[in-house]
Amino acid sequence: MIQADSIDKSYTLPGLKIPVLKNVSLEVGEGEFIAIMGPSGTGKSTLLNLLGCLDSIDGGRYVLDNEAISEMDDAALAAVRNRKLGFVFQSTSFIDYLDLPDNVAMPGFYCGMSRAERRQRATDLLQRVGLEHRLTHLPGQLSGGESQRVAIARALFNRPRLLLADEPTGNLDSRNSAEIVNILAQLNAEGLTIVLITHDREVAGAADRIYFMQDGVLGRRFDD
Amino acid sequence: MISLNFVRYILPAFDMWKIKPLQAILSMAGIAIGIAGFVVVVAMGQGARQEFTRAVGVLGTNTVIVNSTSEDGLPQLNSAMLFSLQRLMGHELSAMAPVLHKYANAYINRKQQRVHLVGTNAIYREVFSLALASGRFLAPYDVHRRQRVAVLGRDAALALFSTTRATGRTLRLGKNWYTVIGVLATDELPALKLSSLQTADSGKSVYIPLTVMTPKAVNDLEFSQLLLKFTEDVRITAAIPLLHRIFGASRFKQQELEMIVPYELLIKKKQFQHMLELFLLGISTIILAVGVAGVLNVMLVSVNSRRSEIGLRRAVGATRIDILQQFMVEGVILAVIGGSIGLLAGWGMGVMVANWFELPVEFDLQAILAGFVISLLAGLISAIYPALKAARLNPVEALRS
Repeated sequence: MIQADSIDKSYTLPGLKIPVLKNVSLEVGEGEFIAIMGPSGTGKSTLLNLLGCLDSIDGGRYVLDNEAISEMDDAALAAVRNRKLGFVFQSTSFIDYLDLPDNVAMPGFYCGMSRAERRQRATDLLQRVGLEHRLTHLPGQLSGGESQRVAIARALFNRPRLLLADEPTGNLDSRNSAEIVNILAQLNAEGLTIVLITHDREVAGAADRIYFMQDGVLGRRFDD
Repeated sequence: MISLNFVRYILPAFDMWKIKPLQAILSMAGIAIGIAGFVVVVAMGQGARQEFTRAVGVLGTNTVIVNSTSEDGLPQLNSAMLFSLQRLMGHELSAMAPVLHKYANAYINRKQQRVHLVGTNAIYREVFSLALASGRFLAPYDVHRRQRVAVLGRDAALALFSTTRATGRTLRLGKNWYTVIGVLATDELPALKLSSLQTADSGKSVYIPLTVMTPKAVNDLEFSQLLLKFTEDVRITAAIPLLHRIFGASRFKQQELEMIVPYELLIKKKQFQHMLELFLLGISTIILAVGVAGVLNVMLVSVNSRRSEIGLRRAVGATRIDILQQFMVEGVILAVIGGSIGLLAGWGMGVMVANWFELPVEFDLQAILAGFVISLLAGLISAIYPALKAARLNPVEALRS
């Protein structure tokens, strides 16, 4: 699914180049569930954004689902994000003036699905994450745990091949956190490939493999 | 692909208004006022052009009017002048109508009404291109034989007989009875409203033979106004010095006579209206520019406060073009709704201008279309920069905010 080979990424400030990822290689097979741990500011999120085709790599090669991402233009990248990827972010980001079904259905808007079909599928997904009683709510009216479940529903909308989760339990208490991990594990059991970033060893424990990142260098963690 | 794609951003664009309705309304107001001003200007210009064309159609370009303006009010023009004109400029003149104005009481049954009497000849109709609703105008033999016949202006007929079908009826003017031989079709001659033309509103006048109005012999008539129509190939400005000599240059200097070229007055009036138009157009443009700046500002604020929304949309599959279209549509909708309000307001203002200032105002599809297109353009201009800014946002940075 993921073949990242010697990826470099650095950010440039005026007169200053800050390397964030150094020669990072990662392979994730179809249906695998991997977790990436590590201190803040070591490049985990940057790596996830690159894997999520939100940013461009400076060096190396990235192939996702047999497509060479590093050679694509904006429209092609947007199409990949739309059809193959699902994102769950730590800070719940929604469009605050749209109700939950419209928020969940956003990926459908960008692949030309009709509004009726979008609403129907979004309603089904919200039911699946146990929020059928919240259909007419706005995002601001949700609790933290509920928000992350809505975010997962949105990530699943276009039946992605890969789910990217950036500290999805970072703002949750242990009970809600366990619930989210449960949902992720269940999705993985159904065949969805998942890359998860977390600080929480317990959350990482749900993954097949755990990686550790420090100062822009990615390594396996063997002590688990 | 891009061509009709934007349509699907139209409905979602209104969702945003739930958050910042006041800003949306304020930014629309500038566009609305600008467009309103613009519509009024176009309508006024259109009205002025139509009035000009109509007036020139009635008066022609080669009409000269000589008025007696002496303080004692006595007629300063006479038959001798007509003969001189005939002798010296006969080839260049196509029509000549002496006119005497007077007020008289008209009686019908027991009803009495004050009317404006115009004593003239058959040529008068030619000079002003008058159309008849029924009957005929004064004929040469009416003048020669001093027939007591009258032609009524449309309004005069309505006032006296309560109908325009007055041909064949009789009325008393002063002490004598007259037969109505015709009624004019026009209710007003816009050209004759020019203040310096001492010609009454044709619609409210009663026309009788000049020879009936004054007891003097045909070759010794005195009258207060002379209408001259020159042939098309005569340059009026070239003819005026000779006219001055014929009537006596000193009499113009002593203000016993005045000479008016209605076409020149119309041109002057048109120039004045054109200046007014330019002035209003300038003001409207400034207001419109302020409106554009308003929408631009609202859109910039909107883009800045919705960075995370932009990042999110990019993450779930929006291309740069998608984001660009979304914000363009939002800006254009603001401007077009503002512009539509402006169109309505402009129409209302135009009606007021027409009523209060008695200026001709003419609304047509052209003005409405122009207003609409300009608000569309204003929307495009004010939305393009914020929309580009939104589209250029790096999704990762946008998500971080």
